[in-house]
This record gives sequence, C-alpha cells and structure tokens, in this order.
Amino acid sequence: MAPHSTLEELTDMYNKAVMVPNPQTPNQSIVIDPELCIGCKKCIEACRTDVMVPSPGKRNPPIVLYPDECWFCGNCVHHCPVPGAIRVEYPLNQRVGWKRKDTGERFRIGMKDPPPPNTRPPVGGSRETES
Amino acid sequence: MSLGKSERQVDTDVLVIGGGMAGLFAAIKARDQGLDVTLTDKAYVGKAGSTAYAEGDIVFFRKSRDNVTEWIDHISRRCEYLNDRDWDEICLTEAEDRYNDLVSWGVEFWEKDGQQYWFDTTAVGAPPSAYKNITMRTGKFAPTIRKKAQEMGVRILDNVMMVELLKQGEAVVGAVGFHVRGGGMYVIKAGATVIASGSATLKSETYPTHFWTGDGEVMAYRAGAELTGKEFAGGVTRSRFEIKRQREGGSKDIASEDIAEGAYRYPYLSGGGFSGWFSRPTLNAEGGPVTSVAWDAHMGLAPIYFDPTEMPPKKLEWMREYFKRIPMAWEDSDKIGIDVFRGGLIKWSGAGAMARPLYTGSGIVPIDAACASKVPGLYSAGNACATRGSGAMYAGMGFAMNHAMVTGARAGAGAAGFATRNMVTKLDQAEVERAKSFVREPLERVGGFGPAWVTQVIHSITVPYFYLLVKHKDRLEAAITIDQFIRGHLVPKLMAKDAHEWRLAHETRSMAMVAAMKLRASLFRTESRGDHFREDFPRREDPEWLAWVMVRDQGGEIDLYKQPVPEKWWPDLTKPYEERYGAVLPLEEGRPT
Repeated sequence: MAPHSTLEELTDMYNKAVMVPNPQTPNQSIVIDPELCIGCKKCIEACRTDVMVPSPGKRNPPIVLYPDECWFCGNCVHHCPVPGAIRVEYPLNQRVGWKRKDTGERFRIGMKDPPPPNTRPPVGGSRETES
Repeated sequence: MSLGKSERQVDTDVLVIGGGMAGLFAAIKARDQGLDVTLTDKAYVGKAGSTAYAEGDIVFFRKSRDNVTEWIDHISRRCEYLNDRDWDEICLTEAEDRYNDLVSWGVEFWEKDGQQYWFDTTAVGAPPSAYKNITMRTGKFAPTIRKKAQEMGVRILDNVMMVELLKQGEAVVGAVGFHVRGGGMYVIKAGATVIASGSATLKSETYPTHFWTGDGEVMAYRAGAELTGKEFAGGVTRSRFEIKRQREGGSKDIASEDIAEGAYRYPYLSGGGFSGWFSRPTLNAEGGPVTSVAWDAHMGLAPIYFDPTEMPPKKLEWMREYFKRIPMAWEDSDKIGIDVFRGGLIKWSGAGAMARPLYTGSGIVPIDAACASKVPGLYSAGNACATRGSGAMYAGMGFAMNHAMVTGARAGAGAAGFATRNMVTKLDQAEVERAKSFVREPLERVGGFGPAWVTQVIHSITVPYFYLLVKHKDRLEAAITIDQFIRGHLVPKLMAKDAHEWRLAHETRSMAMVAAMKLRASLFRTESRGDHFREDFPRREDPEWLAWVMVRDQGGEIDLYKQPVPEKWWPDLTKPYEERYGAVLPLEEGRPT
C-alpha cells in the first residue's frame, strides 16, 4: 500500500464523507447540550484554534473535532446566545477539595499538610479513636 | 476540493493580516482613503486574537487633564529606560482621537451608576497622577468594529492564514496563504501590506495568547524586516495555567512550581507590586515579579502562591469590581468552590510568564511614525509592531490596547499612502510559485514529523524556567545547539495530513524561529534588565546596555546587533544604581535574605 501518496484520495474521501459526531461524555472539554443548542454556530466563529467545526445539516450543534486544541479560553461560552447550551469543563473541576470544620480553611490535593481523609469506617466497622 | 489545489486570487490595494484591534483600525483607516482593502485572519475577524482578552481596558490619556512628561517619566522608570519616548508620546496624545473613533463606530463603554467606568490604577500601585483607563464592554466591542469595517466595504477573509510574503525587488507586493478549514490556497496581490497578527508566544500554558505563534513577524523577518525585544518575557498570574497543565498531565511544561512540594506564600506588601523583596517601595517602580518568583522557585521555594486576602482593602475592592466585568476570569476557581477573594490561593506560574512576549516591545521594528518597516510596502501594527512603547517590561494594563489602536490607525494610513504612490501592475509568476511551494511544503511530504510533536521539542528548550527566566550562558548555548538541530533537521520535515495540521505545521515553523531568536537575543544581552535576568550577569550595565537588541536575517543566519537608546533618554547616571532602578534583581545586594 502506498503510504501518503493516497493523500488526495483521502482528502476526496473526507470531502464526500459525512462526519459522525462521537457521543458526548461528561469529561469532554467542550460540552454542548443538543436540547438547548440552536445551531447558530457563533461558538465556531469565536474559537481561535479550530476546536469545533459546523456539523452537516442546518441548525445542528457543532462537532467538537479537535478537542486537544482547546485552551479553555471560554470565548465560545462568552459568545453563546443560549445560557447553558455550551460549557467548558475545566479538568480542575474533577479535583477534590475539602474544608477544615474548625477553621474553615480550604484544601486541595497537592497542598501541604492537608486534613486527613474521611476517617469514618465502613458500615458495620468500629469507630477508631481520633487523635 | 483537494488540499492546496484550488486557488483564489485577490487583487487589492492594502492587505491587512490579522483581525484584532490593530488590524481593524488599519483596515478602516486605509479604507477611509478610498482604497480597496482586504483583511485576513487565521480565525474569525472581530472575535479572534488577543483583543477579546484585553478585556476592553484602554489606557486613556486626556490632553486637557494629564501631563504627558509625567506619564512618560513613569513609564521610563518602570520599563528601565528602554522605552521609546517619542512613541510613548504619540500613543498617549492620540488616545483621545482613537477613543472618539470608537464612539463614532458605536462601541459601548462600561458604565457604572450611569457614568463611564474609570479604572483607577492608583489602586494597583501607580502614582496618583498616572495611567487612567477606560473600559469597553468585553466581547462586544470587537464585533462592533468588524461590523463597521464591513459596512465601509472592507473585504474580510475569515479563517485564512497568510504564510509567506510576495516580493518584487525589495518591496512586498502581497502574500500567499490558505484557508485553514477548507484547504484552498489564497494568492493576494497588494500595493501595501500591514502585519497586525499579534506577537509571538510558544503555545505554552500562558495568558490566553496561544494563537500568537509569531507567523506575522517571522514572515516579515524572512522578507528582510528587523525585529527587536526578543530577550524579554512578560509575566502574569492566572489559575488557568494550572488548568492547562492538569489537562496535559503535567508532562508538557516544566514550570517552576512543579519543582518542589510545599506551598510558599508571598506576602502582599502595600506600596509596591505584588511581592516583597523585588521592589524598593520608595521609588514606586512596581518592579516585575516575574524574575523574582522564578528565582524563588529556583531556590527551592516553589510552588508559589499569591493570596489576595493579604492585599490592602482598597486593592481587594478594586479587584472584585474589575473581575466582575470579566465573566470567565475566575469561573474555574468558582466552580470548585474557591473564592479567590476569600482565602483562595492563586498559583504563580513560571511557564506562563516566560512564553508571553513583551507587549508593544517585541516584534517588527518601525522605521518611521507611519509604522513602515525596513522593507518597502510592509507595515506593522499592534503587538506585531515593536514601537518599544514598553521598554524592558510591560508598562501596565491597557497599554497594549492603546498601542494597537494608535499603531493600527497610523499603519493603515501609511500603507494606504504607499499603495497610492506605488502601483503593483503584475505579480512575478516565478515568485508566486516559490511562495506557493513554500506554503504547500508540509502537504507534499510523504513522511516526516508531526507538528504537535515538534512543538513539544521546541518547548523542551524554551519553556523550563532555567532557559528563559533564570538564564545562564551555558544553558542558553546548550539550548541553541538543540535549536540548530530543530530548525536544521526537524522543521524542514514537518508534515501535514489535513488542513488543520497544515495550519499547525506553519505555526510550528514560526515558533521554532521565535525560539531561536529568543535564545540568541538572551545570550547576546550580557546584563540583566526588566524581565531579562542572567545569573552570570545579574546587574544592569549602564550605559553600554542602554540599547536594544536588533534581530535580522544575514544570508540565512540570525544576526544580532545593538542599537543604542538616545542619550537624552538615559537615566541620570550620576545617581546611584539603587535610585535609578526600583526593582531588585536576584543576587543584588539590596535583596533581603
């Protein structure tokens, strides 16, 4: 098989093919709600790094084609006319944070000397003495 | 349509590359002269670029109220005497005219209690008389200006990335590029060309200027223009840096804060900038914290946090007010329950700092007040244009936007004048073919290196703090050795499989050149000044380094030379060093231990 001499064939194929959006998962960087999206494509205009492309058909939500290009700038959300139709899921959101009950100090993983994790024993176990 | 096969030819008087504030001003001002104007951007004109991120703040000088000498003296002290005072005066005194332009185009300004909102910079450490800003409505102003340009009949080409300038003899007569989504080629014949495509970053995790890959300034350099300011970096703090790193799994950038565990909290001291030791408060010089944070990280004190609760109440109140106007600014922190104004900690990022260029101070050197470059027919505006309004350090919030408006308007008028005087009748076909084959090069390779991977290799010699924040001859020379391999071996073999990679391949090619210039300019400046710090030369050297480092192409090699700052702009050399420079550099005696 000739490797990349088929580039033009691939390109032709690409042009004739219809893009099939992959299903959205909760951890995707750009999450579009297909119920709310009106397909105005303003987010596509707003993106500087080609994350989204228009989907085939009128008024369809855009397709997130190059998610690895997203820099979480939020410009797409900023220009969206429907609140909640598009949102940026920062990976930071998946981090656990906790608060000391007595002082109200907030901690995250990676900070020095965090409070101990939940010490409640599994159901049926005996409660350990807290120091 | 096959990639790079279809071709659209455009015949125009003035070509403007880049559709942010500077490009829009240039296009409108050139169109005002009755010429045919084409405006291109690799993303969408009016929404792309750093303009949306300037958050609408413009430094605003009112002739009837403000004292120009006082403002410029302040800029000189802060920017460590490498600012071009003539350009400072132009930018400040024309601020009001450009503001009036915006108002006449229908741009709305932020209001508070029925009054225009004024940004009070005294709250962030500026002296009482200095720097007043005015704020446009974020996200709305640039589309309004786009609409104005369209109404005036400017031809706007969105998603068209210009790659190579066309030359005829000495002069630039247009450019060749392609549509970053459709993959069709564009050959644009122009009487004059304005580069307004922003500055150059390295796609590091940084202030959101990752689309600034130096495309404009690198193509100008190839065409014979001179660049400057490459040794300086600017610094900024945002929690977004951390987000990018989280997503990349921490492998992409090695930031200062990742060096060691354990939080180191910066105390906030009133009167100076953000931090303690790097500023002599009495001089009110607001020294840049970039170097000092990097140095503390170097000394094993990272990660370094900035705690807003330690700020003086006036500044805290200002920050709340300010960030309320920018919807996305702290949303990421808010989402995980961190209120930065109530005890949240913001991490300083060394990586973010080092890859950001010095706004207005680095880029294509203008040779006259119309922003013409050394190459006939080639103009620059905005952050692509190094007027050196900021010297060795960024002058302050709102200066880049002011600079973009003023240089945009001047470059547009200048280019229009040039295009009227010099008609380009016909393009030289051999030159068009040369440029087209340069643009198509990544597509025509059977195999090679992917642009994303080459970008990572470029990061490996630029992003770590010990190459571009805490610099040393030995390390810079080592990085230059690798840079020679990157540009000599990897870049010529960059390949692209689709239109998207085609864009990335050319961006990567530009970034490799930007990295090479940054490393060489850093090695060339054998002193420390502003945001340039050399471990082996830790002090400012007056007067021999009251000079700019100019970068030019000499037979395919990067050539550097020194251009002295006019003597009338020097600091008073009879004063002791400590009184000339307010910012304390690491290893300096004034630094408390």
